[in-house]
Amino acid sequence: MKKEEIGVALEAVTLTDCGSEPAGGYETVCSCDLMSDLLAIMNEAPCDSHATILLTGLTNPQVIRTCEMVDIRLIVFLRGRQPTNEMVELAGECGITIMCSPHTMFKGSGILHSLQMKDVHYK
Amino acid sequence: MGGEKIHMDFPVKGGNFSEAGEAASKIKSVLKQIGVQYEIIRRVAIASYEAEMNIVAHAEGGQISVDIAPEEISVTASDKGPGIPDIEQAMIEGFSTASAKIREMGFGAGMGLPNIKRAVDWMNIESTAGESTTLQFKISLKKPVSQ
Repeated sequence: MKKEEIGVALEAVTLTDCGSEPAGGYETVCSCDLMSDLLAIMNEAPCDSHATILLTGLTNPQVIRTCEMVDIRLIVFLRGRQPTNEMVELAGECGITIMCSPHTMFKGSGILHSLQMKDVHYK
Repeated sequence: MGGEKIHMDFPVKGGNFSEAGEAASKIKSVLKQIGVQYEIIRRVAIASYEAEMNIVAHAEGGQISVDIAPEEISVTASDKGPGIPDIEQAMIEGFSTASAKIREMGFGAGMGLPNIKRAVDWMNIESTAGESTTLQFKISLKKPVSQ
């Protein structure tokens, strides 16, 4: 899915747009609030992390840094959580697009699953 | 990369969460510039980031040193701080001594050291309780990358 399509599906507002996205769109989703879990999952994931998006309710700068480490380029903050200006600026520096959706993690994950996006496949 | 070796040192301030991750970010950037394979970069980034976060979260301060040679990347994360009384216990997934503040940031789930061990080819920890900890790890640049 293209990021515009993801934004529409999740009723999300784009807070900063890095501009780039995978040629074939985003393919996989990681829904996670624990950053060490995210690192563990992405360390084992067989997929291309550039085509992975993060759904999370955790709003602090370390979410941006963690995504930078594993090359996730699109973050959707859930439950209407607003990232700080510091986070928006850091995301821009790291080339990460961030959106904000009103949905819960369950609903957001369900919406993307129903639109054929896949799990990251943690081994 | 050619036959040259690269050495870098990054100071890490304990408790400074606003700058946490900068060292790992710079290490990753250098590895990309010199053309290291993507999967290797990701493993180094994950391990370096976890090591850096451990210093920020638990220690008074420390340093991350990186040596990049044609055959391997070596990282040493050393700090002054409480140390690790029981290293074997600290390697158990889920075991954590993190404060509530750390947990609110999404860390402190007891996955840091296990994540590092999973990402690297060799790892060693030495620690003196009440004084310091030194974590070393290496990732080979010669082993075939998994498909």
